Amino acid sequence: MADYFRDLIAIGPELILCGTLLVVLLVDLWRAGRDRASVWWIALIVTFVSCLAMVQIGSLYHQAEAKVDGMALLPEFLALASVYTLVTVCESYYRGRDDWLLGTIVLIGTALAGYRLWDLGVDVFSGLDQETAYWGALIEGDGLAIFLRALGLFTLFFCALFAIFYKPFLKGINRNGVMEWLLCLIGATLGGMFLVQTTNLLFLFLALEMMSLCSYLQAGMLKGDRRSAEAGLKYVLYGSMASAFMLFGFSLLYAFTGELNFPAIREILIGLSADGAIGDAEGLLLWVAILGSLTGFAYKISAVPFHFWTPDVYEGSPTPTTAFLAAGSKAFSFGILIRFVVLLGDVGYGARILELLAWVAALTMTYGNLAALRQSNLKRLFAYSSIAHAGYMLMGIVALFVITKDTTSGQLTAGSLNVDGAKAVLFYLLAYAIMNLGAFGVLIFLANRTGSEEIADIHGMGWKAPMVGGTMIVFLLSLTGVPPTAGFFGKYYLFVAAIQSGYGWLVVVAGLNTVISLVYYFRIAKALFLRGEEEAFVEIQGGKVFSLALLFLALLTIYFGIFAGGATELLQEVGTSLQSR
Amino acid sequence: MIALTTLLAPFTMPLTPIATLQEIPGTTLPLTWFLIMSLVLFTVGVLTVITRRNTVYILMGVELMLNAASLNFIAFSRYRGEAALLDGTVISTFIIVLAAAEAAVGLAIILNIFGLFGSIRPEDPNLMRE
Repeated sequence: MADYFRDLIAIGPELILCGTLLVVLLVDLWRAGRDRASVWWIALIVTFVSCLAMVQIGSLYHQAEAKVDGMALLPEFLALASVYTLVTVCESYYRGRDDWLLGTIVLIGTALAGYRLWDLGVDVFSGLDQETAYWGALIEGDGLAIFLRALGLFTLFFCALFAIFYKPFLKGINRNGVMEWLLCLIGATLGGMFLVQTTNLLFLFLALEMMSLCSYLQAGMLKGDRRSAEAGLKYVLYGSMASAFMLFGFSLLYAFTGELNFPAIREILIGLSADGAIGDAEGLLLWVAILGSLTGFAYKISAVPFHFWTPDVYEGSPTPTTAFLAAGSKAFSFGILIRFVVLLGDVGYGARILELLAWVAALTMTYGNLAALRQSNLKRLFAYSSIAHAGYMLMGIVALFVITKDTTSGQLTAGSLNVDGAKAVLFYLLAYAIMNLGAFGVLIFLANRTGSEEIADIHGMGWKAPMVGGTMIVFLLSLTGVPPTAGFFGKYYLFVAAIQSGYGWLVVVAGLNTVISLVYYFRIAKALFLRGEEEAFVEIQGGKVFSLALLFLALLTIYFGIFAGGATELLQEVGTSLQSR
Repeated sequence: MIALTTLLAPFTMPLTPIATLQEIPGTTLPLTWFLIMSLVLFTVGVLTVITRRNTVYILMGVELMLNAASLNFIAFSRYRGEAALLDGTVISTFIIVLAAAEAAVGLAIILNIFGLFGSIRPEDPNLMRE
């Protein structure tokens, strides 16, 4: 029983998000009127009871000795209770004018989950919590998981905030869609948070699909909007194909090892290659298995052979969804990719896969940057820029291992783990999430005024809304990688890690790409500030909360561009903890 | 160019390195048969996805691919002995549930597309171009 509490505490943040999800449903129930009520109540109760039952059954399998006191669950109960109180208060106050209500609930739920996560993180990083496997080793609550879950909650917070202000959500037939959109957003984040902490193939697949299904729905959520529907269709068709390939790869990995847990798979593969038992035929099978598994991740991070969905989906989706796909979904997928590569990169045919990934990285960044040059739609431009950034980050993944080539036999072998690679990717993910959320926030701000997302329509907007325009300049500088911004340090660490692992040529490619990216980021800045003076000067008013949020993100970008030390120390620790695979 | 025999080798060989594989009393079909079946299923799925110009067919193709993976899981857990006997069944149950969820989401989106575009051919919605 005590073990059951320990496991529950480990997923406290996720439980709070689940609670938030239920609360959003409940509030919608209040609004919907009595006719729909009974059905919803029954559905809710059934869901709740079955969840409880599943947890109870799971607990029967866990009967180890006590480690954490049951009282430690108190914060979760308090959190849930306060959410319920808050809903009641808000509901009576805001009845009839509740545009803010649902989004605010999500913000508060996210903050509470973040508070729980902070506690867990303190335990892990202070070295108090040595044993980080939970739920019978399904979940690994180590530093990597804590960091990426925190990043996910950060993204969730700002996406929900943007959704409150996003105009298409506030009018006409889409008005009731906000609730559904928020549910999908929370669901996708939950899936992602489980994704980054799992070391089990089946659980990984389920978590990834939870994130994917909710993302498909988010993309097609704007009712009556043909472009949003098209984005949803393209995302779901290509996405389900990629996950089918990934599952087939997993099934072959299982065929090879008979295990579902990464550490066990790793042990068996090391044993097999030590025995010389992996011949040509088995090697080919293993190669297919790992390539198939990587397909799913490559699709999510939009690496080059699987990038084709990105522009259309980013352009057609509601902008808060695009922000989530770029900042959240990508961070989660890179997190699990780090885990996958760290565990399987230096066994069997890992070295060959890493060599292939280096080429994928070079192609991805080059393609993304070249294609972004000739875009006129801002969201589409950011889609290509996000492909390019995936290329930069893949460079850090590749740098996780030093590859040495045997000159006589031509055999590739992967050496020891270079934790700087993991540190660099994680820092870049942090920087990328901050600056990308900021950039999409500015897009929402501008589109709310102009009703358009074309570069041609934002001429001179920087003069009309100086603060928002100014923050956009910071985000653009950071995306390019100019000091003193977070993006600069992100690129710096990536380059250093790549050089350490002997990928000098990749760093040269990335450097050239940075120069290319300067061109199109500068085009946006130019459109914002250097033109349009001939128009009459009218200062535009924006939401104060919204501007403050953008200002906060811009300050954070600069903060991490000057004081990167604290974050990198933490991430160094995360990387080091990965070494004890 | 890899010779066909090399490609098929994993499926025709007794797969010695996977030492724990064993015949379970009462089973008559060799493992290879299941693998060939799953490969055929997967190939048919991929071909359906590639050749069909109808989004519902594409979803069906994806289902076939998922089922091929399911079959792999079941076959290998069955041939791995008593310890792993239930693994494959549990996994494939999850996969079936997930495939149903995916079909539900996919069909909902396709229905929306049909309402807005009057067609479910994947190339018809093309509002966004370079």
